Amino acid sequence: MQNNWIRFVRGCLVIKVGGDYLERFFNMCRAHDIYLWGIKREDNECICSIYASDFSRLVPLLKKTGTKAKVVSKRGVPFLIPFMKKRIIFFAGVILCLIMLNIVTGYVWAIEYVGNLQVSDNELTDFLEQQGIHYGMKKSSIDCEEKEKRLREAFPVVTWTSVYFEGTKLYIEVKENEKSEPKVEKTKGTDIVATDNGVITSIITRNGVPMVKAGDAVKKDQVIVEGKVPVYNEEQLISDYQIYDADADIKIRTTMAYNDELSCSHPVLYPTGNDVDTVFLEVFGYHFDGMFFHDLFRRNQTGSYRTTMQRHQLVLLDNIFLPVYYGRIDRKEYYLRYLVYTQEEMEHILSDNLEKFISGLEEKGVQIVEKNVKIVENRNSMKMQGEIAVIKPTGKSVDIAPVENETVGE
Amino acid sequence: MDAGERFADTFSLPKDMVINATLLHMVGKSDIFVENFKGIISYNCHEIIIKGYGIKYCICGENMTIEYYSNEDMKISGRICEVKVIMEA
Repeated sequence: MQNNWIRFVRGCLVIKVGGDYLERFFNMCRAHDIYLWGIKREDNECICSIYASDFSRLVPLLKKTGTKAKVVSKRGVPFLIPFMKKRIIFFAGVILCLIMLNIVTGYVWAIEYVGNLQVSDNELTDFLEQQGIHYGMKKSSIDCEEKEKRLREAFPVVTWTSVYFEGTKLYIEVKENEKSEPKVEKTKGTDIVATDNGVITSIITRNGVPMVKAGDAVKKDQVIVEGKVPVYNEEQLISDYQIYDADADIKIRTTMAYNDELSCSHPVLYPTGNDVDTVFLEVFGYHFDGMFFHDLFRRNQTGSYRTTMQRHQLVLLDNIFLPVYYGRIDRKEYYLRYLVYTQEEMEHILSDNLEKFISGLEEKGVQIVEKNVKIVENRNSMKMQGEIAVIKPTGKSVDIAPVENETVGE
Repeated sequence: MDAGERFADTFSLPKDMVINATLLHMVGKSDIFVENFKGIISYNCHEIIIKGYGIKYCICGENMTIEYYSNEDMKISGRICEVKVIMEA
């Protein structure tokens, strides 16, 4: 028995055989090694199937047995060839397209990171570059399990990794240890020192010993809260020190220098109206767009351009990212002119800048107490300079010097 | 039992090889595979008579069709009711 696919590929005919000696005809077919199948009796006739190539061999047998054969239907690839011949370019295109698709899907055309919070995308991209993984490389050349191992080694915060493909997209999935905090080494203790010169307005200490009180003047880098907490014995003498990371909310009144300068002349962009909006196509790194033809016909261009590009990647079935990009290019031509501000305009701009600076400080929790700024006019510019008195949080942690044994137990 | 059959029995040889016996392999009541036969004597919807070597087999039933018919074997399918052996004179 032969497979139906083989029959379809070789091509077969359904024939109707009629006559008095049908059995003899079948036996002669058998003797001549002509394969028949699907033999069914219908009154005085029989319907059976035969390979198309064997049909011509039936002629002498039909004559000998006095039977007649009539083709009922034709099936199989040989009978499709005339149909395909007329549409050869279409079928060739389909086959070529399938081959190309098969080749292209063997490469990585997109990379996505999933689940990373502490490790940034850029860090993962750098890691992949170090490992030799990049766009356009063969999928088969990536050993996912090994890369997972390397990833865990490179980023201790990553507890679980999965490197896998979906279509032509490489997924780097990680799970980070959410509970892990920066490794706190056995603390050596920290002091809090002032970051500015000024007067302390308030101090709330949570850890450590405050060295100043509200109203005290401090200098930059002066210790405000000490992390070394003395332990007293029964005789009220220092028997030991406990080392902490000093922690406190400290506010200081200080002055900040403000300096802003504005030049009289400033550049202004004037659009010429010669805007070009065209499409582009990028295939395997080769870029094609309509800009070339546009520039070809307009030779006398002198302006500068500002170009914006919208780029999309071609994706099949949500997962197959192809190395084909398309989009729009919007090119706006402009020329540059230098204009001169009037005095009012300059004052207005400088005032605006100061307002923005102050609002920026207020957003950071800085309280403005006093402003003492003045405008100074020069030949080609205008300056706003002065001082701003502010109340702001202060203090930075610095390591304290190790406790010397000699001081202990005094 | 003739000499050939006895010989085959004695030496445990396949009878289809030694005495050209026809092999009929029936699957359920709908399919029969036939090997080592000479040809078809008669075929219609209710009856197929197959010629073996010195023997005939009559397979009776309904809707009898020959699934395939080749030099080596054939397959008959349909609602098989009876398989008769007709000894040639």
